[in-house]
Amino acid sequence: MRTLSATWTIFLRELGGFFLSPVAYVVTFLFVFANGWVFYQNCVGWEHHPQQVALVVRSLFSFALFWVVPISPLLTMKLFAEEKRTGTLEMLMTAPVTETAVVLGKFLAAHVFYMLIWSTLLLYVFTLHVLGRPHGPDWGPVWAIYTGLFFLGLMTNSLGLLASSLSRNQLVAAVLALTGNLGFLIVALGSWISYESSDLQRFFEYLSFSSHFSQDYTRGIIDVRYLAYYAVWAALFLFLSIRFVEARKWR
Amino acid sequence: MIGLTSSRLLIEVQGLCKSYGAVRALDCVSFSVEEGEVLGFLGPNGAGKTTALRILSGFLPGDEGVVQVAGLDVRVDSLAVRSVIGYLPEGVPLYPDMRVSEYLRFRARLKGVPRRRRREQIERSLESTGTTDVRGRIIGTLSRGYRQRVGLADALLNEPKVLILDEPTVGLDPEQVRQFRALLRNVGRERTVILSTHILSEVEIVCSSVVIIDRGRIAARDRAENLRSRLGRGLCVIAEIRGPQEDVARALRGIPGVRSLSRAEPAGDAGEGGEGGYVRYRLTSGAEDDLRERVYDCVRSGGWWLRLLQEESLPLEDVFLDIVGRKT
Repeated sequence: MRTLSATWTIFLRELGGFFLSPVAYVVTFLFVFANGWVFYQNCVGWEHHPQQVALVVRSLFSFALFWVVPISPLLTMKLFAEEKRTGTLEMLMTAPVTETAVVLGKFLAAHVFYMLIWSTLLLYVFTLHVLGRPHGPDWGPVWAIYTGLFFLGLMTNSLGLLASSLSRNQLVAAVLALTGNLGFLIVALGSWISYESSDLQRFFEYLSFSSHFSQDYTRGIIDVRYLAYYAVWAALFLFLSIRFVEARKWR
Repeated sequence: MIGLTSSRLLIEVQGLCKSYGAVRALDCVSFSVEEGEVLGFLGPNGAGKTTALRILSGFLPGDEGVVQVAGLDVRVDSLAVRSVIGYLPEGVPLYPDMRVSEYLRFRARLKGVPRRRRREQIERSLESTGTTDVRGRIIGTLSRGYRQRVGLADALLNEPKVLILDEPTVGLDPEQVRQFRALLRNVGRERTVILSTHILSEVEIVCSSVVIIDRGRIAARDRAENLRSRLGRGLCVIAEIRGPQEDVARALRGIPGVRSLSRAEPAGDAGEGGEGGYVRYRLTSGAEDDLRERVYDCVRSGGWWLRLLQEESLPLEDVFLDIVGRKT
């Protein structure tokens, strides 16, 4: 019970912290601006195409997907690194709270802000919904994509948090997490190299989140195996984060 | 008696050791603190003060030994211990982007202060540390002295039985130091306080008792008012003498009971032999032993002139260096 209320307290403070942080605003601005530009170009480019609305929605999200790679590290990099650098971790960990509560609170705050950033894309879809009447977008694939993004974010945000708990330098934490995310992205290359052996190809496709999105979510398919895959990684990363925050005690 | 559990003992540390790799920060340290005591943890930089306080506050575990706060083992009941102490780390790390009142609300919730008592508790903390008028300011814009007070306000939020302060006056200007010490004396009236410092006079002003720690070991433990006399083995005599300098020095060294002799800064405008040929000597005696009569006899038998002869107690800094066995 105490852990739960401590988690909530830390969650609120960290979420508030994002709204005070210039990094969060810069990331959100770049994200909205770049996607808005892509959205506009696609709308114009497919102006007379009979499938215009569906194509615009699909390309909007398939471009946006790659934003997962930088967004999560940029949001999570400060969470522990900054506290370690300034010494506030000592304040935090001498209050009657457990490491678990601190890690979970920070993780949830990062995840909620991550979803807030993603939710800005709904504005574009909504614009199509209003202007494209009666041939508005199909909301099914959109929610499928958001489900996928939610679970993917569990993995990338917890990886970012882990990287932050390893370093007292935000930049190092961000680069570590970025490398990890790129790793998850480019295992897809393995499937191109191994296209002759279909088993190996499928193995690599299971591992890489970009193929999950291009094959399933954009068509409105939610594959629970992928969601479980992200959740397992997230659990591992969170567990390790808790251990690394405790690690000061082993030295 | 250290080691016996009495209802008045609030903190008990027995055989506490801690190493960082090959560096031994604490070497079998034992001490206890009674309720209501204001204990000064005194030692040069790197003596192990911060390590000891971090272990007491549950931030780090010790390698060996038992640490009990209010009858609870710090390792076993870490959360319970942390909820009865208020800890202010060195350098007062606070979140610079929060407002003072916001920060205190966050800390009160974190420390599990019940919701209905939270507001009242925050008010009381603000008031007792004199920070009510900066409650709306952003912490990053506060002066060092105010940040220190906000840190103390934070430490007081959960009505701690023990207040642990690590080098609380470092980095303050003399006026802020004076104010902060007055604040500490006030706070220390109602609760047990442990504070670390490397400034001796601070211990005399604020503390009721003192532990001197050096290179991970406890060098002395006493009441603060006994510090000077117990540690101050010996007194110091200042004499201004006119005469052939080498003969005078030799004769002064020959006085029984003199442990050391040094030529102090001559008074006033110093020529070759000091003002008017007078040279100021500083003699220390090994025991509680008044040297003045013997110095007078010595000067008279040499046929020299004496114009000043006075006793001084040794400055605390000298006493301290003497205790920890480091010569200047």
